[in-house]
Amino acid sequence: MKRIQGILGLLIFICLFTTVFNGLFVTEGNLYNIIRWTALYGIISIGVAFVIITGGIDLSVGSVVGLTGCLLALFLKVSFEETNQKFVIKGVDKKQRTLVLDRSASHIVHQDKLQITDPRTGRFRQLTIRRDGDDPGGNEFVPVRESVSWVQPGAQVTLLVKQHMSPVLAILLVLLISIGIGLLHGLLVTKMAMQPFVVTLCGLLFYRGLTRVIAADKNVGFGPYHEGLKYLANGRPFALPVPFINWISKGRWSSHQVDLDGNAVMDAAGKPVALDFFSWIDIPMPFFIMVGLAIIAAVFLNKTIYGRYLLALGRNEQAAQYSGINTDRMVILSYVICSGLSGLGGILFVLDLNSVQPATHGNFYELYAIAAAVLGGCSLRGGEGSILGVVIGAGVMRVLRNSINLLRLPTHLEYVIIGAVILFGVMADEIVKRIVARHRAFRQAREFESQAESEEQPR
Amino acid sequence: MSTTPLLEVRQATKRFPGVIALNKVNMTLNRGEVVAVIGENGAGKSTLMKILAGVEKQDSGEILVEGKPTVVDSVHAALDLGISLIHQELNLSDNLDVAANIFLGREPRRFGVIDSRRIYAESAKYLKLVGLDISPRTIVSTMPIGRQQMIEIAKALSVNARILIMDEPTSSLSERETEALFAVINDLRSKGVSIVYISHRLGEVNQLADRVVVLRDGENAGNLSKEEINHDSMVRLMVGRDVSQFYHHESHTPGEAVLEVEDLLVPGRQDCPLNFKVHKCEIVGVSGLVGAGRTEMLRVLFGIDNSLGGTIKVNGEHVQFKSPLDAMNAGMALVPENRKAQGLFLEMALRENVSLAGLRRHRKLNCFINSSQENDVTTEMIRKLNIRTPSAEQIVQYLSGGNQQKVVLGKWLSLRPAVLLLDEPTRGIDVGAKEEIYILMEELSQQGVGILFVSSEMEEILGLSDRALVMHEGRITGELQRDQLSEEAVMHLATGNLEAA
Repeated sequence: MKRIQGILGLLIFICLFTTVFNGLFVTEGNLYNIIRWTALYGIISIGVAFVIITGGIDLSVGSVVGLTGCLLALFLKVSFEETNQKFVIKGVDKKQRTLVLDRSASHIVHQDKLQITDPRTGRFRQLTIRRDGDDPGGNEFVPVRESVSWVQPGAQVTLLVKQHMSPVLAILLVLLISIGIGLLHGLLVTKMAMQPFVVTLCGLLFYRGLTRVIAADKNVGFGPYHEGLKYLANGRPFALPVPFINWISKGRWSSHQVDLDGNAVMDAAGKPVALDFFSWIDIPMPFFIMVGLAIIAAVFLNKTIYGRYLLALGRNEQAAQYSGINTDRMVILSYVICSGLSGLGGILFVLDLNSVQPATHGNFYELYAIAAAVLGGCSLRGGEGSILGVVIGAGVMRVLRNSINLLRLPTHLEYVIIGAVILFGVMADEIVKRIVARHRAFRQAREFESQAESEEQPR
Repeated sequence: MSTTPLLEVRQATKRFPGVIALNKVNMTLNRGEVVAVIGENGAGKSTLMKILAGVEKQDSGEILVEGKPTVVDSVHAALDLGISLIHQELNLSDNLDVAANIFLGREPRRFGVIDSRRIYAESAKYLKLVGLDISPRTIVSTMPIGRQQMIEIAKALSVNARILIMDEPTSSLSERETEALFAVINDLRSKGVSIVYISHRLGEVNQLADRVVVLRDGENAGNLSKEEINHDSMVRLMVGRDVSQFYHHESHTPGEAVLEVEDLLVPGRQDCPLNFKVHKCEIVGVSGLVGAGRTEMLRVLFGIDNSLGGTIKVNGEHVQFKSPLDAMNAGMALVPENRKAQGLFLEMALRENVSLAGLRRHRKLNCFINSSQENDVTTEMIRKLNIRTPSAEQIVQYLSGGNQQKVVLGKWLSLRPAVLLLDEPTRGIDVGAKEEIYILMEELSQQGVGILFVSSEMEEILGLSDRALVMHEGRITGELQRDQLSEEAVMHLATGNLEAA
């Protein structure tokens, strides 16, 4: 607990500081975004923390995020296959954009297409079926997205079926690939005795290039498809009431709404608009995923023998080996955890962003993750680390960027400020540690002297 | 001698926490003389040399150079006086060339850059002085170790050293390289350079020294003049003291063999097959000089290095160790030589250190730490081994050496091993803790554990062993039963005289 006090203090300080100078920090939307991004970065930061605990480093995190994200988008690419099912249109509801078919069409699902010849041009046109929650359609009734004013009853349509890889299979494949990457890193570091920095630096370059090749350097994404899967990244399963923050953000420290100039906003009746005491902050899906992972990671690190082995070998690899620990296997495991979580992060990031550029998606994420881990109390010398600290560290990174925006600091100062805060954060931590160590040394020296005196006296 | 000696040490005393490393030691060195300083490990040789070279400062006593009292409070001060120490391990930057090493840190400069013409020219001069016919542009790492030793000497001479202190200079040299070194030493002597020569190899001392100073337990044990120097006289002075009374080992009737080693080949010593047995309830000491191959043998017995051949049996069963875990599972335990590097996690809590090796054995649900067992075993070991610590959560770095060693012992005893391997179990710990460890070894052997311990301290070998193996250059040169054990006998075997006792 002692180890995270400093970083938690820093996080609270930045939050309060920003809130005081710009109340918009505590609007529901902003908090939701901060929590979502913290969770996404938190996941990859937890991964890299495991490698750092063994005294290693993983610089390939960002490229793995990019690779896995693009792979997922490519695996789940939607195509349409022409079937031999033909229907005859019996009626057209132009206003509701609904077609009436000659027989039951209940097996036709959302985002399937109907192919029809446009009588005006003689070309094929495709109509997209709209069967989401609002307008499920009846048996013969098929709502579509496009305008149907030109469609003549009696025309023939062909059904095109939406096709893509099973999302479960795609996710499993992507995770498997990222785990394979981690395994490769671990083997190179242990069995080939290569330096982690070099191995993962090469990974950083290689996976980035590979991503661009695979995606032909073109943007990839999900378009309007896979809404269900996207729920993983931006679903809002739960909301939390938080008192006061409405009064700060919309009321500028008062219980009634004010506009940007600070004047009270009046309703139609000419009365000031009262603000709700509670606002509801949506808690995004990734937060729950991250919390789940953090709990598993913390239990693994602190309660299992393998977690203890990781901490021990980070402190003294030779002594760990002399204690009967298969140090190679543990190091490999840490790289597998890191790349695996990078892969999971990559899946969530791409689902959240919907469309990504292979050349840039995930750039610098490894550095944010390492910074979060270091802020959270991981020592790059190995053997030290707290999962809660790492998560808070990821929070600091996100809040810091948000604050720079909200405080209207010039954006080109962004990296200067982030760099300086990390540096001072770690420096302050180091100074505190030294003071504690010196106190201890003094105390022990005093004890030693008094012991020596009491031993000498009887003689 | 009527002339003033070049260097004189008077009544030098040096204390370290818990030990007196030097107690009123005297020594003189004349111009153009080779004085050998000998003694067992821990006799105070290196402390004395460190004081002369300015690495450590004596607590009391004087150093006189040419009869004048002098303060040698830094390596620089020593160099200014012309005293240069050549360490046992070479201190060369082996990626640089010879000349760069000779002038490292005091490169002559011209126009702000290194005056390479001058350093090459001058280096050539010093290389000639030590009899090396090589280019000063040779990269050090490409040279054999013996030549690197010569570079160290050339480096020392280049600062106009009048006094060269050589700490075990031949420990890694081949016979031919040693001869070459001796030729250089003889040459330097004839040119008036004085040499303090520290060695375990009594044959070399015999061959080289004009005078021998023997240290024992931090005190002068005697001096030998040129005519008096011989193997026996040196051994007698080195070990000739009453065996301390507090090791009163009572021999037990050994049980069946717990560890049988047949024709074991240790990496790096392929030509020396090892054969021995350790029985239940038996304490077997392994003696020998530094570099005799004792640690290497233990590493193989604990699965850290793989053997190149031969068989190991534990409790009568053939075992093959691919890793320390295999050895642990077979009932072996090793308390390694270097406590801080191999035994301890200094920044971790005592509890975490003691419990580490046993975590696997007591895990719950296949992977969880059994924390109640962990706490119990820690408490048990603190009590049983009398570890003096404020709590089980104390960071071991802040414990004394003796208590740290008990933590390492506790880690292994918690596994209840059948065979306990101990490598220098009492190195660097105070007398009180030493005695506790001896008593503990006694108790363990009574409980049936077979103990194989390596020690460079003669008293330990003599006092504790039911049987002693003596090693020399990778070979077991002799096995002494308890009634055959004597300091002279061990020393003879350890210095390579086969069964000469």
